[in-house]
Amino acid sequence: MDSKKLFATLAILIIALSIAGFAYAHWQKIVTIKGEVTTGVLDLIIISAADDDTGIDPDYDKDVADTVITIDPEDPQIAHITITNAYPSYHVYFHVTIKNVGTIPAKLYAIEVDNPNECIYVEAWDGQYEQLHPGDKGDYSGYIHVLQCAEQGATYEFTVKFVFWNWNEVP
Amino acid sequence: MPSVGHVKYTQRGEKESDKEMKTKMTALFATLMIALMVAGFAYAHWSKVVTITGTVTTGKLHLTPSFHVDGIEGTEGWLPEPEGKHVSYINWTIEGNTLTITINNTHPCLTIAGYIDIHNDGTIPAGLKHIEWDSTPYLRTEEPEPDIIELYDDTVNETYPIAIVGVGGNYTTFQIDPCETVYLYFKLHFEEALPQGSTYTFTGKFEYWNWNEA
Repeated sequence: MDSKKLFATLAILIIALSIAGFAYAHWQKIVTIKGEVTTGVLDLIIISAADDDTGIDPDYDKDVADTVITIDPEDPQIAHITITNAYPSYHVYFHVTIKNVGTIPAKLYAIEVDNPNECIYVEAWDGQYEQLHPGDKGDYSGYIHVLQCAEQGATYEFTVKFVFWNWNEVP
Repeated sequence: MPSVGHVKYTQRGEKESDKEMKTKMTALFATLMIALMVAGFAYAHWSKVVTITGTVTTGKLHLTPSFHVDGIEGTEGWLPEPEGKHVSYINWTIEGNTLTITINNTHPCLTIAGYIDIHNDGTIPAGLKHIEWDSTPYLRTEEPEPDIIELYDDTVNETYPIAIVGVGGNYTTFQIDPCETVYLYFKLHFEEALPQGSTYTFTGKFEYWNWNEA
């Protein structure tokens, strides 16, 4: 064999080994960070509801109209107010206690009253003024007044929505 | 085959086109980012809505009058007279809330006694707000004492009344609750000054409101 060829082959082999040796020569240790994020739950329900017509009509001396407020048995986020045999100037306050049953503090963002009836006055307000932390409960109230223009034998409907957001997003 | 100049011109055009495309892409990207930021802000909150639904059903204020006269069955008949004579005749009708009474062929010393009942057949208590009497223009009324009304026809006699009405009952003192009734008792006596061949008309309006406003 040609000594030059042998030398060249040896040199190439050494270079190849040295490259391979360099590549496999380091030690390594991998530190891994695994991430898992579980989001909270924003959830509120009505735990009690009441009105101030407990017999004798508020501010009067007779029991004529009747107001009943109940929590929806299938969805405690909803309460229903039913007023029967109402008349002009009949008025009643209602109160609901809302509990934060979620895991995120909640804050009242808005109260939306949808009342297309000009002869029924409806308003609602925040009796809490504070955030509701998980497990906390707060009182919220409203007022309904039958105005003079109310028709006899008529039915009027309205909706009051207490809109809660996660506390940190409420301005 | 394109000339050298044409090739250079084409390459310069492609470079300008690339530059314009990059500018557009940058603008598009910036717009997208802003849109996402806005959308991200709008949808970032969680919300929970507690709803209260309300239904208000109003009641009904409705009153119905009825009328009866002592000694008469039904809604018409001869008024009781001495010796059982048939001289004066009375009848009445009720349409809605209006009671219309007609008395014909009356004469001095005739007395009519009866009741007007007002029944609440609605669902709301009623309270008497106002009573308004209207009559033949020249018929003058005086109230010499409570519950006594004297009727004068000044064209005939200014001194003596043509009739005297005594009224009573509980209609002014009680609200009428649903299903309840108040009454007005009256006794009408025609006096000696009553002229012959005359016609008098009168209207009484009893205005009731829902009790809490009356």
